Amino acid sequence: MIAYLLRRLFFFIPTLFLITILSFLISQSAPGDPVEQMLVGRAGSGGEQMAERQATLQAYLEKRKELHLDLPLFYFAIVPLAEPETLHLIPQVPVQDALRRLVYRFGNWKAIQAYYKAYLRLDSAFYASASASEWGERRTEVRALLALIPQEKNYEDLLYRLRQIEPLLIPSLIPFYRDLFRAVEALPTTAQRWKVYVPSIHWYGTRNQYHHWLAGLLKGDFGTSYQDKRPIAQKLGEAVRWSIVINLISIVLAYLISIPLGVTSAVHRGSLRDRSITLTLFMLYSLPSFWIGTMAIVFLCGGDYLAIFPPGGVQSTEHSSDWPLIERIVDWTYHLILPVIVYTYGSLAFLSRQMRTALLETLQQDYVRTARAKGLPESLVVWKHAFRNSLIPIITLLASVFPAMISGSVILETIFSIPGMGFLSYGAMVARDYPVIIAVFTIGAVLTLIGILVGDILYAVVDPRIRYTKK
Amino acid sequence: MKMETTLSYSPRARAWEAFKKNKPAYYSLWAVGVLALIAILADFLAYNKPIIASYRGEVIFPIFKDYGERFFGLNLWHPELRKANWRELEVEWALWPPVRYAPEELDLRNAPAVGPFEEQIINSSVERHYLGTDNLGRDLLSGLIHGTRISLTVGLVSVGIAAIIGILLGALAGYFGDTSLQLSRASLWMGTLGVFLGLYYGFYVRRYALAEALAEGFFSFIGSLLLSIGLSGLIVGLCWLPSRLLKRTAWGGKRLYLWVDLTISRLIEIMMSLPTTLLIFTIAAIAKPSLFLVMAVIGLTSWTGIARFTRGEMLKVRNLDYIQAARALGYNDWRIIFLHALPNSLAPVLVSIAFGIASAILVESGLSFLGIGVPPTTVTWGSLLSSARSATGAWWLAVFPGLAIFVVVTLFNLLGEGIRDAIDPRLQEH
Repeated sequence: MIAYLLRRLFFFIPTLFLITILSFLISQSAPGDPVEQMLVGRAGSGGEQMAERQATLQAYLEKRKELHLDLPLFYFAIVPLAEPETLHLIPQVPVQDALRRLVYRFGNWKAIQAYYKAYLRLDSAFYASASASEWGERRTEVRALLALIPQEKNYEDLLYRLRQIEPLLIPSLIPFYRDLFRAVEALPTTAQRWKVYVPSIHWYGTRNQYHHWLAGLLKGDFGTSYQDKRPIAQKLGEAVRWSIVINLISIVLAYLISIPLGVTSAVHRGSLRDRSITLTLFMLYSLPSFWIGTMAIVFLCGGDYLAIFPPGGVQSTEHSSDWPLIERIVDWTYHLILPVIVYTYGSLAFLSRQMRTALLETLQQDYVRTARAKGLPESLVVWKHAFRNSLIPIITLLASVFPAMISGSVILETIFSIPGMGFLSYGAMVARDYPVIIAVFTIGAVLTLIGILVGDILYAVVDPRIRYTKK
Repeated sequence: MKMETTLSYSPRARAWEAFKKNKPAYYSLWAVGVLALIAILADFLAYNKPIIASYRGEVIFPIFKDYGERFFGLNLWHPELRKANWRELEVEWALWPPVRYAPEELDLRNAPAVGPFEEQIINSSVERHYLGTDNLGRDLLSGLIHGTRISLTVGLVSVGIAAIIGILLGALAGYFGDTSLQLSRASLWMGTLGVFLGLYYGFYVRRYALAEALAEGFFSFIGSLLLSIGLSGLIVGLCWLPSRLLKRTAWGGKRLYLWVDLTISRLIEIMMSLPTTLLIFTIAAIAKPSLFLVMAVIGLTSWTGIARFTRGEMLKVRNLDYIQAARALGYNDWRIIFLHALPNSLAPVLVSIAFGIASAILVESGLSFLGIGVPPTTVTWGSLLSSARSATGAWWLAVFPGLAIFVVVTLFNLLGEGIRDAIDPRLQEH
């Protein structure tokens, strides 16, 4: 048993590691520049004056450093020889992407770097001369075009942009422009494409983004939400209570109802009672819970039809902590009845069907036949001999029901406006608040893993035949 | 005739007989067939143009013209007629689909949300919105008919992907186990190098090209993907060649066992410990909405059940006499796996496939119910159902789309149960 558990843990850790890498990868593929999303709502994103511009850039760089986004992604990278070790130092994710694509096309980092530096010189020359009266109307246009140039992923588009900006520039900038244009023109002629096809390994050590993200995760720091700039851990802490309460209630209910149902159905196998129970459970099992939830909200909760239940939420608007406890509990119960029913029926159907199958299988075992043969009353055979052994699969299912409920609750919590984990992550999905989405995914994944581990342990505890040792 | 059916002894024929006796499952099969027809013929059942019409003395086939433009890029329509509202066009005669609305067409006169029995502003009674309209005035029945196409496509494609991966991996794991696939050390090392380099050049270096192809559309993505796979294959092959020579050396010639089963089983275990639904939701929420992506993600995360079933069956089948006989005849392993062993181990996989389709359809409708993953202009059962949340009082929006999901899910679940009962001899007590 201990050896088995150790072996289990031995696989638990790499899987956990894999899950964190997966979450990290998904979070990396989220579109946009996280720093800019964090800074949204702060001072304007790029003034016309040199000083303002410097301040914005400074704020950007500081935030970037704070979030460790100036570090490489992972402990090591396998990249083409052409890709420099320091590409991650360049600010702004779209610019980084565009430069990397040029690297993949031309393979000559020196030439691309020359182009980028020439661009930076033109850019700062522009901001130095931004107050010149010669600009007139063109200034805003040039500024927008300048910002777009380094984000061009395609070489032809880059040339097009450059030609677009040329007639708009004032004479003092033309030399800078010529330099830039020459550097861009040189890209195809100085290309070293072979470098794209030679792999090389960069080793970065622990100073990388994943390491910092993981370290934060272990300390319970999930980052900051884009939406309200609050720590995600705090938001999750508030939300998780409601999810746990509702899930626990419905799991307990589902077990309390499904076990007797499954037993009745198995004992009276083939009877009318069994067939009607089986059919009902089958229908329940196939009923999409978000359909039932929607219908409940439309028909029973205010709207244009009946108003038996409140229209979502977990408590009435005037609910306050001053109320007597009894009254508060009544209010919560009133709000939670419908959600709990909808949460419960699906797993109820699933569990009862499992219970029925398990008991049927146990009833066919030899020792049950022996028990019957020696004349024990049927109730004793069923409850004492068969029932206890048939519980094993049901108990172990507990482990898989719980994580499933967390992901299932994304839809149900949204329908019933319950401020739990699911509702939180739905809000994050709609608002493209990626750090929250990733945090919920990571937690859900870890819970699933723990659930499976607990299931295995329970299995070994309730079934002494299972020793988990090698034969 | 009766005699013949009872005398059929092949397991497949016996299973089919048992399946036919299970009336709900048998009728489900027919119902799924009908649904497939509805999906294929959706445009002839609900569209805003007639099937055949005579207009100004000319007989035209508007739906086929649209097909020609959509699928073959032809330019068939007279510019005035392309934008015309056919319901108001004065035609000599026309054969219309039963529902005269396209699914995403906005009927602004009947918006927001007019019910099936309420008064509708229409020109003639054949233009009724039989099941009402949604908030934007889209015809509900037309949306349901065309939604069948989306739901079934999602179910089939995603389970198809899952089945290919699952059957392949499960068959390899079950057939070879840990102690029957032997390789020389040289082949092993060169093969590993080949796989690494193949993945690097085929997929890593080409990742921008692949991403661009995915953004362009389904077919260019498949083309680009095939190119990548071909390139990887070529590189693996090239790396494999020198191992023929290296094998002769003492070091390279040592025979090693490949732990096929152990590796694949661990992979299955890891995949099973991922919260798939949450993973699908997360990816769908972060990536650009696309139906193909939803199908791919569902397929790539749901192959474990199929793989386990196939593995289990293969473990049984590989020890049967006829497989031993095939081996004795000197057939190579691949021929035995795909021509002899797999066909006899696929029955339990069918169960998994039927249940898999049901759950894929559920996941997709859940996603479009939340409005993530599927492009907002696409009308699906899930998106129609979610419109019930904003249109209070529109019972038809709450009832019919959900009913459609329920019916399809039930049909596939019944089908799965029917197949399971039919192939499980323990349950055939009669």
